Amino acid sequence: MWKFLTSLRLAIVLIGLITILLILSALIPQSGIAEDRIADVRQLLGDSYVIVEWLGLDRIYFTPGFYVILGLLAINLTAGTIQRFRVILTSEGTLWRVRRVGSLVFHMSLLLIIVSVIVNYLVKFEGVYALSEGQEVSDAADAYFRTFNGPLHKSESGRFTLRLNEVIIDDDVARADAVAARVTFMPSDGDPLVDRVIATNHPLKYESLEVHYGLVNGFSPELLVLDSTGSRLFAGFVRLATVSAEGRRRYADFIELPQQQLTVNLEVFPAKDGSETPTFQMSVERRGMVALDTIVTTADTVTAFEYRFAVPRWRRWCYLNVVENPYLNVVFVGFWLALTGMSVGLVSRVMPAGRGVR
Amino acid sequence: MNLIEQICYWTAALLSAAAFFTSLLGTVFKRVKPFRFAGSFLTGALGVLTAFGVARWVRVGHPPFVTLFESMITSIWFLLLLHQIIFRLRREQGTVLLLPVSAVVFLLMGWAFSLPAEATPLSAALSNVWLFIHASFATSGAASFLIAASLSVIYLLGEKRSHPPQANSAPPETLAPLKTILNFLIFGLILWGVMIASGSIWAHVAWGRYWAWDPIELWSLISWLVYALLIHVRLTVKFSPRWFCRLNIIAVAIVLFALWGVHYVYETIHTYG
Ligand code: HEM
Repeated sequence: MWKFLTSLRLAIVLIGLITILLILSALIPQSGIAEDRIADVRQLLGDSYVIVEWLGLDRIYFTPGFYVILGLLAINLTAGTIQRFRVILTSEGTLWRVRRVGSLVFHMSLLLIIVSVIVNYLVKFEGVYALSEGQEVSDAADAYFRTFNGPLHKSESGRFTLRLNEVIIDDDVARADAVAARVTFMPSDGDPLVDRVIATNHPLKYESLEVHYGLVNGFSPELLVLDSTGSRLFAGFVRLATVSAEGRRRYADFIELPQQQLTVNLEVFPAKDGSETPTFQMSVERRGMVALDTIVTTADTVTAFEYRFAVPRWRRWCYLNVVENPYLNVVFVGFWLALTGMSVGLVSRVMPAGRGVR
Repeated sequence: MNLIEQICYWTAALLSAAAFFTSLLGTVFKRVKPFRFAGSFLTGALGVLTAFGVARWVRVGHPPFVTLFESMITSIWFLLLLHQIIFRLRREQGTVLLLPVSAVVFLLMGWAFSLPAEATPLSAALSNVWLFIHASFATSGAASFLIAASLSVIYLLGEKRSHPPQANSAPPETLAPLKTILNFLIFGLILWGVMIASGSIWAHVAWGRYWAWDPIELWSLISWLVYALLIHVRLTVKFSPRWFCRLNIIAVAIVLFALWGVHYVYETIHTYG
């Protein structure tokens, strides 16, 4: 049994299996990662897509099989390491032992990486907020737009409140990653409040939490809907989705008013350099009948059916990712340990043995 | 590209073509002299490509790491540099490498030329130290794998008795020793490993997610595991060297796909993709 556990052949089979599974996950769109492409594959395969689902090939990283193989690899690595440790003790020849030690350090750090990645995944916390400027949210589970928590994460909420004060667009390079967000982070355990501008590469750090600017931003126009008597049916900042298609970014969405059976479609056209007020394309439908389709500025009020519509103000919104990865630095230590081990192994391989080192 | 860059680019392309042609001549007609020309042509190509990189760096303000075109040119530069080192340290092996390396350089320059060569300004996310580590190790890693693949080609050609003249009838083992191929694999794995590690740390710093199963991350990890597999297969003695060399060539194709092919097929957050 020990021979099997430390055999190189088992290692080859396990690494091979993982490689094949990863290649499959690159070919078959994975749910939660490449959602949009799943529909086309489902259409392509028709009803045989059921087999993909049954085998779990559309969520390979979350199937038990994937973790069984990783677990076996961890055992194989541990056994291999122990066995190789014994070999080092009993062998002589410095160069030969240096190579063995390098390889030993490399494989042990692989083990460290695999274990710390899995442990970190189990307890990690990742919450995505979609906030409009001026909006303040508490750290309650339902306040998040989306969360990616580890299965064993014990979510104690109410640790902080976060306010997005302003989304700052860098005018000269108006690209998604030239954006920053001015936020106020208020810890609820009495620590001083933190007011910070965060951007890509510059997150806000508080104890084990990190608040990152979340790469996507967009527009939140204020939609006002009045009935014939002038009383307000709807008034609020509506966060429009940001969709990037064919290399162009569109800010468009629809708002439904169920009682009045109205659907309001809104699209925002930012002013050229993004600083002046944008214009809005608004269309109003009721039961498939389009009553209005026009360009609106913040000053206009338009009527459709017996209602009046206006977009008096607008704000920007962006994603803010709150993350907590307790064991991530162990993973990173594992990276550098592995690379050092392999480099030591390589140097001792390349150095000619004859140079009096035997 | 401004005038200086264009001159450098085309000179480097011509020199690599000349190196390929002369080393091909030397191989076919079993003459030694053409190989000497080919050697100096490739040395010239390295010099001129360095001038290209410097001229562009001065003009644009950041090293050629950002666009796909730049990433390819930097890989070619590392390949020429690695070959130059081998050429100086082990003349015979360097000479034998002239044919495959000049072919690869010439083909890559053609592919690079089909890509938009315009330099894009360095956006906020990219202007940080991790870009230089991540991109330079990716390109140098690819170069090391390309050298291993070139040696494998020589080993396979060597077996068919069409290797250069001066190595009378030396068996392929001395021209492209499997031990050297293995060392370049491990060297490539270290560089490629640093690329994946630095990319993951950078992604964590940038947007709080150290691994997002992005297609480029995935294919880079797949390439890394394929080479690790290749090394382990090589270490179980019974494995036929010919298959080891063939797998080497397939593996480098996956690396080139991971680096420059992915964006043809996938939507990826890698801006240069
Ligand atoms: C994902 C898993 C693995 C990867 C990526 C990997 C990678 C590598 C690499 C790159 C080398 C050559 C560099 C060096 O010698 O340090 C190597 C060598 C080796 N590996 Fe692995 N390995 C893995 C798993 C395993 C496992 C599970 C075993 C089981 C015992 C194993 C046994 C060996 C042995 C015996 C050597 C030769 C050591 C030497 O030449 O001194 N490896 N591995």
